[in-house]
Amino acid sequence: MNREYLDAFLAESAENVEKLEDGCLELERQGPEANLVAELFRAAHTLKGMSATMGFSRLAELTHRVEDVFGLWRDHPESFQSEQVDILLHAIDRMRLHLEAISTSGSELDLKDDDVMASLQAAFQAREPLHSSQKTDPEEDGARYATEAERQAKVAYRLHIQLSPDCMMPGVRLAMVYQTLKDAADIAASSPTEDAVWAGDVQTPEAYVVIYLERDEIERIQEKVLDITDVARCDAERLVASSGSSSRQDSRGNLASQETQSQSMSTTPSESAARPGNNDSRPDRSIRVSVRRMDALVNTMSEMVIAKTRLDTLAAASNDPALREAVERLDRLTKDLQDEVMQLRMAPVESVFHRYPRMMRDLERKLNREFDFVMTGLETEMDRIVLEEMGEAIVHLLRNAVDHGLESPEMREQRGKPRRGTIRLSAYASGGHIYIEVADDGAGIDRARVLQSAIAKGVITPEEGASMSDEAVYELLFRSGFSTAKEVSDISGRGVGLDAVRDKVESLGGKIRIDTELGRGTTFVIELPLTLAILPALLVSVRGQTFAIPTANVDEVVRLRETDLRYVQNEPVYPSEDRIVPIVDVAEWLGLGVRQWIFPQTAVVCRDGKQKFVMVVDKVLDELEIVNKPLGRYLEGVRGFSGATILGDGKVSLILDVRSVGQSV
Amino acid sequence: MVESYVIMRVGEERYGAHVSQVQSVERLGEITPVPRTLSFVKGVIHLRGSVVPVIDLAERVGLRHRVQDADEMRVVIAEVEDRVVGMIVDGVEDVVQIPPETIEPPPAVVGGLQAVYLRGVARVGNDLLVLLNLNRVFSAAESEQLKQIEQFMTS
Repeated sequence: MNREYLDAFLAESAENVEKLEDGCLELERQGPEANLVAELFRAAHTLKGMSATMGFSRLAELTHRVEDVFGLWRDHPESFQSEQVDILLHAIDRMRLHLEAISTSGSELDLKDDDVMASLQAAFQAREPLHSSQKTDPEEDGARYATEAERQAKVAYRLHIQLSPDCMMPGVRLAMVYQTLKDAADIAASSPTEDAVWAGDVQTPEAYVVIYLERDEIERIQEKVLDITDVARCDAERLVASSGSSSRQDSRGNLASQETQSQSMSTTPSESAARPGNNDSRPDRSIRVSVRRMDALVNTMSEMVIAKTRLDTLAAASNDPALREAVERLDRLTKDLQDEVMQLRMAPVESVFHRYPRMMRDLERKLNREFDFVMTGLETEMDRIVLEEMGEAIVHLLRNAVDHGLESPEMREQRGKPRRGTIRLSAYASGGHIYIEVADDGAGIDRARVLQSAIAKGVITPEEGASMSDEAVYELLFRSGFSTAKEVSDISGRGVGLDAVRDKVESLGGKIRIDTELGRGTTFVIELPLTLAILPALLVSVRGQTFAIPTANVDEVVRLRETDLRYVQNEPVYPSEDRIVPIVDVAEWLGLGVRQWIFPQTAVVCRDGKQKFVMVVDKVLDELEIVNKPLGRYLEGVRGFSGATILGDGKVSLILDVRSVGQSV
Repeated sequence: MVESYVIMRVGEERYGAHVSQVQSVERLGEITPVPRTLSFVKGVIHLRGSVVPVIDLAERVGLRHRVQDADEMRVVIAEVEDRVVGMIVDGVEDVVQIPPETIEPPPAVVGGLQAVYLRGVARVGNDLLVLLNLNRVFSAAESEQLKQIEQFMTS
């Protein structure tokens, strides 16, 4: 089969599967809202059609059954049972497996889908209306709003607002839409809710809003809304009070007739008639670029920076003012270009965060918790590589929050808290750093219990414990001994794999800390550098070879005198501030030569997390911004270096991995 | 259908590397040594904005360099399974076309080289050309590296 077609099929199918999954989660939250079900039906229908065309019969059969279920809910919303969403999610997981298999081997999984099929069939046949949990009937709602509007001498409209799919900040755009609507009309109801939109918690690219208008000027309002950047469509439907009209029922149950009945408007009406929902003509579009080409661009860019540094040196030595001026200008342009190129490496956190809602939902079920999972700042951008590396660590923290942070619903009620907890994952940029926070409103961390357990384990003495700051106590949770101890995690409610999380964060040049309040909840705050590609570093010379030490790891540069040293078991140590720190002779550590100190001896005081040590070098040469280059897969086993950089003279210099040096002392 | 091989000279021997695996041939420039690694890993070089590790092919496969002019020495940049590695050789001679059917399986040992590093042997003119299996030459180095690290960790 033509690989190009196959790739297109896979890309589009993946999109539809994601749409189905997101929609199912939405369905579970708000019930079988007519437009949502219609959208799900469409997604399943498209997927079924494509799979059948491509000859993937299992996938087609599976989606067909799923489509049936959505069809049932569309026509008989009363038959919806939220437990059935599980069945659909299983089916969606199965679709993913098939798609993965198609992607790698070109054919579907050799797997009978009987299990999933059977449960789907059962769901399809479960037509028993659920009188007990009477969901809000949108039909009734429409009439109710219309009646209420009439009472106020107004008219009611239901608006369906769709943002263009490549909209970067749906939350912001929807807030603008809501503001516009608020200025011109009363908002009677909306999905997402106004509160959510104002809070910036919204990521969906569409919204339904019921508004009351004093005068029937809906077209003017539609125009205003469409004037907002990234709004692709704004369809309006007049709500009518008198119930029992069969035509309205059709417009609800049947998608085609709904469209003919509602006033439909689009930014480019003539074009949308031919290609509905197509936003090709919109400004500020994006293009896809492969990661490989992106990296090549960054490479060339950094080489240019190196060449420019060389030119700087030459210009500085010359007396030609014109040359100097030209080089200065080049300097500024290079800096701008560098910023732009680095910007391209950035990816919105959403690209990794989008898989968490499903995971959290499954955890909620599995661990018998009840909570809302809220993500904010999804548009925050950070270095693609840092982001991908962080993915697993965030999973760790989220699991931890569900498992150990939140109390059980019963416990929460006993303590007078709302039964449903909240877990919040937020990302934001501030002062050259990116922050990622995982917060729960659970039990918080009990200082006394952590101390008790640390003392019991002999990590600290009772006296030490009494004088420790809260911060220092929470810090204990990141110790590896703590993390693996099961009983500690049960008692303190924290500590599973936290050492691994900290390792990951620090290996990326970041920091992690805990804010907690007993009974109120716990927040993990991760601070990360904006990018790993360029970092400030100290250049040092050791036996004639130049090495770079990331400034993030450097506390200070000192000149050691012989009298500064103390000896512990014949090994020299350095008393720094409140403690004794070990000394590493870099030449010796690297096997470049034996120790030969010449006092006063240049040394760099380094820090890796809590650990502090002194690295003895021959000379400090410079402090500058360096471009971090990977050493490549062939050398990935070599310890002691985190990468390499190319200096102004074109020579390669290795970047010392302070962490691995520190681990050896 | 013939395939092309780059002929590299190492000591008195000539070896062939498949062109699809050879990115470029470079002059021997300044090499930054990487401490704490295997002795045949000579260090890293700057190659058009990238940092590339280089190995000494002779040392890697257990041969000796012919004493000669450093000007003639070359670094053959090869890419195998996402690993870009430069090989220091005594010289690069030619690119030859070899029909695959004339390639014979390697004997157990050819000129001191173990068969695992070989792809086969082919007759080029009157000479026998040994074709290198670069996947082996590179990956074996990696596993040796790992072995060494393990020793380092446990010692």
